[in-house]
Amino acid sequence: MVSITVEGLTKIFPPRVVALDNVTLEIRDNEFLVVLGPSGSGKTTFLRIIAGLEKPTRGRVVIGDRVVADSENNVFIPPQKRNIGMVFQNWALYPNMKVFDNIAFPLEIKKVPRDEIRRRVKAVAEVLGIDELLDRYPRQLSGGQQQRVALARALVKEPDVLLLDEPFSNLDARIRLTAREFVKKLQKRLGITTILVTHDQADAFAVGDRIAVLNQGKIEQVGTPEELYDKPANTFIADFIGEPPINLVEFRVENGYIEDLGVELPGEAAGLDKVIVGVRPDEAVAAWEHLAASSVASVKAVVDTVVYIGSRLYLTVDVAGKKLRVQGLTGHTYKEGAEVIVSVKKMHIFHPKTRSRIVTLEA
Amino acid sequence: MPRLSTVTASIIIALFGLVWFMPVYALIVGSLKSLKEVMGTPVLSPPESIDTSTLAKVFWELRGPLLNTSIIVIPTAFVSALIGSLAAYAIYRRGGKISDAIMLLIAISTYIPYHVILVPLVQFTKTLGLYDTLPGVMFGFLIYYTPMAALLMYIFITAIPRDVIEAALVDGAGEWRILRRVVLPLLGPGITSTIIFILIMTWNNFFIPLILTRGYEKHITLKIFSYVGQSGTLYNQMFAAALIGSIPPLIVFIFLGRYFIKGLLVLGTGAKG
Repeated sequence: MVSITVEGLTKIFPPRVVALDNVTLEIRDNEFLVVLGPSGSGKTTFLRIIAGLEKPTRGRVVIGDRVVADSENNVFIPPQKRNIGMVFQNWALYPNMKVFDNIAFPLEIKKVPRDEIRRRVKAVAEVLGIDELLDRYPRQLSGGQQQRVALARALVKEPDVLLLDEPFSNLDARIRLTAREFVKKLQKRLGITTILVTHDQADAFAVGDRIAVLNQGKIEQVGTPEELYDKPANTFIADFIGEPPINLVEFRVENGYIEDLGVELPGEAAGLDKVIVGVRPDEAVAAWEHLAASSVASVKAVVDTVVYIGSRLYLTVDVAGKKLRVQGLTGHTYKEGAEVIVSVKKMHIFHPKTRSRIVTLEA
Repeated sequence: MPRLSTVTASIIIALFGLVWFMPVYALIVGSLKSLKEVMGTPVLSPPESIDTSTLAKVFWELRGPLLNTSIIVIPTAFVSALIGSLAAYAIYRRGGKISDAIMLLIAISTYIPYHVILVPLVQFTKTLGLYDTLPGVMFGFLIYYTPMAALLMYIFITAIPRDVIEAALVDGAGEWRILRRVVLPLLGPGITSTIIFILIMTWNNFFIPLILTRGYEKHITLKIFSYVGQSGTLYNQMFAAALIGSIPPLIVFIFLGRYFIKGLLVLGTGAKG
């Protein structure tokens, strides 16, 4: 039963780089939490503080029922005593040791008897499908195999917490998919509280029970993948999550209606003179006529450019001088300059100043 | 077809090689000539007949100093490399401003000319009762070369990925264990390079044995120097002594040179060696 509580975590690298700014977060027992953020957002620092490789400037970290770092009471438990398993971005295997010894290393330190070391290394290697590789050196392994060895080394001591730092970023695209699935399944099977740090939203969506989005050292939003996608807290989240990226366009508001779109705004949004409208390309379709399917808005637009992303067809259209990317219907031929009608199924309204979400209009 | 640049490079290398080989060649031919011939013919002219008796005679005279020098330089090289590694690891792990300052001091100390510390070094060695003893020379060498070893080892340690050390920390290892099981094994090529470097530097050192001992018997360079007589030099014997004295470092480099180069390569590739 291991949950992790982080309270008011701040990390300042002298002279004045604020890597983490008052981060408070709770990771539940058995949860797979992903910390997602662009580079420089402080996500790796967050992970390193949990591991004990970095001391927080301010704040408290509690793992299970043990306070491992508390700036106020000057508590700091070093990484050796935290019983944590960690997989580093480039796996950090010991190049001078064979795979077996790499995995056995944490047990050797704990002075586990030899027979038991052998038994446990074999067992964890079997789970990870690397039992054939125990006699090799890390340099003789592929990236995917090295990653599994790193996982095995992290798991063999039965840690309270598993920390994964960008574990998929050094794998090529194909292995990545399998690796994600594998890690997700393994985590569920072992039921170990896990934190994964990544800049890649696809990683986050594939494995995370919940995702915490970090930006410039602050948590922007914590939620399930669906929540982040459907109810983004602000324009940063809306923009950061979703592929192709959401359209964020500022529109004027007149008499409670969004100008050019003719959409009525409810409540407080109606009182603003401007709003930021967020429309995901996948939630707006361009067609020749108004589609029978329900929509919150239907507007005339002019086709600007046509692109395929993967197998899907996307158009950039011009709505009253503003460019929007929307979905096209496959089978249609869209000509540049042609007039179309864009039906919007869902629309997020953001405050123009605070940039936080006021309301979501849905058909 | 070799490219023009390769040809040019080869020619330049050959020229440099030739220039460098010249003194060695002079040593070899000089030591094979008789005294009369060595005095009467140009330095680079080949000997009329090969006479190895001088070499044999001088080698017999040099056996004591050769042994003494080995007794001094081999432990010196190992001990300074060991102390240097420990210092470098501690400084690297501690990090921060103080460590930077210490490292700077170490780097500066490798630049101090011998003459500056001559008097205090001699007095200190006398105080310790080590003047004119083999341990005394060893002590002088250690003082002089341990900072050099620390500096070299620090450079090698920084080539080890920080992640690997941190992984060991998370795995539960203490500093000693990390040093023994992870850092030192990865430093193999670096330590070998440092040992070779210090072996050669101390073997060729003249000044420290000169000031810390009496007579000519305790270090090979002193012994070679002794062949420069006050009333006249036996050039063929001096050539022979210089030749014999330079063979051990040459052997070390020929047999261990690849480790030395491997060590230098490690610096470029992030400790993959």
